[in-house]
Amino acid sequence: MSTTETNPLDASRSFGWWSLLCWLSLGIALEALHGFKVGWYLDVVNDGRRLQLTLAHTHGTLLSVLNILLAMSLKDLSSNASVAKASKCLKWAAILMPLGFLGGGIWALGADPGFAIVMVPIGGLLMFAGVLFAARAVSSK
Amino acid sequence: MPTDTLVLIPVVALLLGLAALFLPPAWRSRGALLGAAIATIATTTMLASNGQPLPEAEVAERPIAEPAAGFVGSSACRSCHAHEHDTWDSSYHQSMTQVASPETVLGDFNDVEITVKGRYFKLMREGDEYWVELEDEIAAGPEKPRVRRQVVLTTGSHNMQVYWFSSGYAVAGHGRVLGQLPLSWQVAEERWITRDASFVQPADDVHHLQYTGWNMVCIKCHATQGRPLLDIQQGQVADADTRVTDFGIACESCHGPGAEHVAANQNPLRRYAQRLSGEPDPTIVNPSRLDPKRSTQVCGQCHGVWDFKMEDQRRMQAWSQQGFSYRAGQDVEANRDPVFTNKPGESGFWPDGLIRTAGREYNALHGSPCYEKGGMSCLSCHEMHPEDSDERTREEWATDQLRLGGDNRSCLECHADYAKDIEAHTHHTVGSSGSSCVNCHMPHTTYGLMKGTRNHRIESPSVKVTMRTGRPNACNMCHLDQTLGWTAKHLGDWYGIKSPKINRADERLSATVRGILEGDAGKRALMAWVLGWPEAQAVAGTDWMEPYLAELLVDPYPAVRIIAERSLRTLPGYEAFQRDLDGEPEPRQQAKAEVLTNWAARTGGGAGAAGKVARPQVLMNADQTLNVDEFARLLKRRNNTEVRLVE
Repeated sequence: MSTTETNPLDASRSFGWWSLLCWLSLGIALEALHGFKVGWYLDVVNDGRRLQLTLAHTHGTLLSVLNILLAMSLKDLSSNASVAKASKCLKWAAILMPLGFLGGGIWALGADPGFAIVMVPIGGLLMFAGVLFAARAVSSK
Repeated sequence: MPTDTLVLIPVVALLLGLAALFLPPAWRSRGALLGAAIATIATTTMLASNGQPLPEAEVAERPIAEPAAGFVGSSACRSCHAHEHDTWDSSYHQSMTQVASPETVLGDFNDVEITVKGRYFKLMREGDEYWVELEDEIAAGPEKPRVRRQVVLTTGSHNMQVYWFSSGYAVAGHGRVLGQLPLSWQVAEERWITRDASFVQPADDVHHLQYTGWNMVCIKCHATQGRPLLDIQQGQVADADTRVTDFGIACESCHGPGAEHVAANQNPLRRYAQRLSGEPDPTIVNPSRLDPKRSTQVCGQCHGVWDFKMEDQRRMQAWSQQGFSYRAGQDVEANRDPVFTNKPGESGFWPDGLIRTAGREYNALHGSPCYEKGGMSCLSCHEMHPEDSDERTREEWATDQLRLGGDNRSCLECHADYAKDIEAHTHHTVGSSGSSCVNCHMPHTTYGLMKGTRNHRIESPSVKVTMRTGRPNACNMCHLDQTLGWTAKHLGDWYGIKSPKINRADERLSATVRGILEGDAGKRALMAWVLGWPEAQAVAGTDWMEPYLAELLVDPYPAVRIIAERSLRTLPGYEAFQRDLDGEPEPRQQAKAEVLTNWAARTGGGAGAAGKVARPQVLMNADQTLNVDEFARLLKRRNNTEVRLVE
């Protein structure tokens, strides 16, 4: 196994950019739904769905950027155990939170999000843990 | 936070900024930064709050919106029921009562001066406020000073809008008693008429400003769970601290109090469990899930004429303090009785007990087989929350809130057999006005809002009923130029209905002509309206109508005159016809003469009528002149019984 493959920050950086591409694409899709005035997204009855999809786009994009930021800002600490944990937590947070909002929006139950929303608090906890591990790694420098 | 308190914040921020100058140099920039931050926040807050209305609880001089115990108000429903809230917000239920503001006031208040039955009013707008200058009728003593009162509430927004001003009553310090402006703004025509003229009632009915009218009467149905909170002193209303849950007819009028529902559903686990169960939420009422009669009663609580038994002072007191005890889903007749007969001096019912005025459909449904035995409810034909996929605009839907666009489909859901061959049943071409279920079974024989509205006792056309009650039948509401005898013959030929004995006049004269010339004021109002109904005009033609509309322009009842003027405007050449029909007699006599002159000129005054035939049933001679002798003879027989159709 090469050093490059085992470096968690490289994985975060790579994941971050691909994830950013994915969630920015959702943004373009949402703009298209606006442009074509698609009732499934825009009707008042789908108010909850619109909110969930917007949240999916926002959280996906920002968490992707957070993964890239982690890789860039902690590259001197790549051997620190906390950095590896931070990388894993933030990667899964960037998967679960936006997917939770996305699924919750697509399969919305009236004003409530669909059952996929359950992924969001788990992702939220992982994000919190990821930032905590990153902070510990920086403090222990 | 009051604006005057907010002013202190930038002052404190400025002082902090100045104080920063005395800090050590290392702290000076931080102190200045803090001062600037506070100043920015304060200024933003001030700008945002500048011009905002007072918090509702601080409003004096009008009733205020404050949810009753167990209620939450419509704004609490929006976050979960956005579509339902939005559709309700588009309805005229929502805007039935509104706080007066530039967004809600439709009438012209730009220094308009109007005299109503000898009383002078001046309507003014000052910024976002609306004012009226009037004589203070309730001032003590013989001298009635002129005063300015602020217009604070509006009623209606569709056909007409009326206004309520702060009365100045504040005997007990509340001051929420309202007075009514004796004027009504006609929305489509954009003009003022007197409030009295908007009802069918004798012109000489003594007008008085209706103080306490909103607090004691309108509040019952034009607001949600209103509490009059009256101060009664020596048998009179001295003051009121009136509160409502919502102005207008809001969510909790139909779904019941929402506090328990809101509290229960703040728990997300309960919400998901409720969805998974597929069962109705027991914490709220959905009228569409009630049995048809209970569902209809939800609407009927307001769309009905009731005896509330308020002569019982304990009931009166309980209502004044807490509002009505009825809640959606309960049996509305448990504590009040529907009314089906006229009290002395009233005329709101036909002789067979059918309601004559609009907005009281519950009383009409009683006695209707579709409702009594057929499981029909209001929601069979009406819907309160149309889908976004509905092809109609919200405005089109809001006019009558009909389900399925109001066409035959609503009836055919139960009467499916007729769908196979509508024409075999109706004897009218498919798509014509005569093949519409409601035109034959729900004709416009109810009066309200200065027009004919549909009778909600679903019944079949009957000449016998027309002769017994005077109520027009559906056939003659389209075939305006035909006689009762003609209708009886067709009902006999097509449906085997045995004809009653028809008198000579009904064999000879159009039922409409008889209604216009001989009918009472309520019937004349309906006839005046139906002459302008496009579907009837298409069937009966319009070339004989002018002399009749001209006569209706000088009717003793102002409402009849104004309705006739509206119908006249549907005829060619009269599109812009508008005269003062609500004041002195001379302008309306001139209007009548003008119409008759136009008609004579158009018909050639007896000349140039080649090819035309006489139509004696509408008193038209072969030379297209009017049989004036017969016209005058019938007019002398006019039923001058006083009629009051006050919806």
